[in-house]
Amino acid sequence: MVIELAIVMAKILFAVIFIVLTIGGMLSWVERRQSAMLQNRIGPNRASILGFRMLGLFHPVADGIKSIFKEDTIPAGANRILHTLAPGLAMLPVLVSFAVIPFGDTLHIGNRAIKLVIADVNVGFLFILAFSGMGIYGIFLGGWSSNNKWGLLGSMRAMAQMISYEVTLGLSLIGVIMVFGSIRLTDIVYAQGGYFFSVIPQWGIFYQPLGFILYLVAAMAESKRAPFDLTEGESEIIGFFLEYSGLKFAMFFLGEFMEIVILSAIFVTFFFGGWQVPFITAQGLMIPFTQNIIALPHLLIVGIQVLGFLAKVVILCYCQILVRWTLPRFRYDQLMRLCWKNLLPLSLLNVAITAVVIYLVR
Amino acid sequence: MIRRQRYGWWERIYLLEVLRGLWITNSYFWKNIFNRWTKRSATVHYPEQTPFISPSLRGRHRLTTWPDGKPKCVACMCCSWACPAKCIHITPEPQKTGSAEKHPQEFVIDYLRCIWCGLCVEACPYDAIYMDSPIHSICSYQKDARLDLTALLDSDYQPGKIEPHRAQRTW
Repeated sequence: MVIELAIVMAKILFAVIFIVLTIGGMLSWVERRQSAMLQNRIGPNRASILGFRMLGLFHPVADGIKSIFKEDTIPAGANRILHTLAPGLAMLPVLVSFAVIPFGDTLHIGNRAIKLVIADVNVGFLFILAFSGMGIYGIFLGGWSSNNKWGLLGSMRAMAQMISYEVTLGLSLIGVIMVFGSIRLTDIVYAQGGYFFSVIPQWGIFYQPLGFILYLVAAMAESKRAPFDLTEGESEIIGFFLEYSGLKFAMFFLGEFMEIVILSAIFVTFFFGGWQVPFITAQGLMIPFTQNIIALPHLLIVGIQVLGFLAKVVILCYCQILVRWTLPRFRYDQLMRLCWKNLLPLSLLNVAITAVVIYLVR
Repeated sequence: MIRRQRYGWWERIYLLEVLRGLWITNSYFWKNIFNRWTKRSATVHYPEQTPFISPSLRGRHRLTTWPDGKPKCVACMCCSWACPAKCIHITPEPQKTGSAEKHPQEFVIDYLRCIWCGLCVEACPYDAIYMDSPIHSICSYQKDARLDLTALLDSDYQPGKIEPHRAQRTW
């Protein structure tokens, strides 16, 4: 009992501290540095410890220390409880979503089988959608409780956008669910282990290219970043976190970066084969076009698979930041038109086509 | 009237053009990562590196001197009158020796008001004031922005001098 609990705690620590918080924290550096590289700039490189600058890697640390020691203002007439609660409510669903995402195969140590997923629930798909919907509460309460009409308007804008795109978000994943026939995420990852023509891995993106694009667009809109960042618009319109300062603002900000990580992880799980690394099977390295298998130790295989998952997540984070620094912002009517008149019909079409194809194939 | 250009079907799909844009930014990223020592970025790390300054830069004021070190200024107040920002404050003092009747006892330029127009240089009948110091003054505090006679005679004087950072690496 105690050992089971310790294993679960270790998994939570690994997933939350190592994957989400570390990558999320690093992303605040990556984003500034990557955008600088994209735009022929140099980027932040001044923060140093004893003269060591480490390519500006200390900037997230400096930002964290700064935001901890900044004054935390609560505006007059604000609802103090909700104002304090909102950043947590915005961050919590992001962290909780990671519970159902499998980040590795079953690990056998001794006679104990450890599934490398925090909670292997059989409704993982619904769990993720439910908690991404929960994210609206933090944003709306943040805007409403600060007793500021601009904050309220910003949160209304954010709500309208997120609720609109949630429809597409769910519908675009339905296709994957239909193909793999399960809403348990570990089953979905296992189902992506095969190969087309014994070379191309059977990942969701090859079954559902349209669903992938639809989910990509909807997920980016859901994470409220450019080109869909008119809910916050860092440089000019601010939005729902107008009245936040210090650590609470940092929590909203970090929550946004963690949301990138989570979305990448969901992407990887549904469309890029989760922890499946091509030609690495449970027994060892499989040589393409043959059935020969070079045996590898079990721990090494699981390590490669976890690293493969992390690598996929990091590459997708890179792509999301690349999109954020390439595309200009949508106008609000363009945003809504894109959602309701283009993405929603396409996602319905995708579901219909998938259903017909599955009916014909079977 | 400029007619708005109609987009073709290629642009209206939007996704393909998005991919083209992503390809461009992505290629810039990797070029900058791998060629980071070849200087693509125009950024100059200012206190550590000095940018190229053109000799014709209209820089900070400099008071010229005679060979014996005395300022050429005769405190005629022409520059003070010409200054549209009224930032030159001269306190003249009668002079017994020398060719001129007066010399400046105090000569203060308030750089928070100066608009760098150069009219003082044009107004001066004795070529006593130039704007050729290759310096954009940096001042940390408001009190440092008012330069007096000794500072203006020294073209290398920097009011709030920023110490160069210990690390000289730019990366």
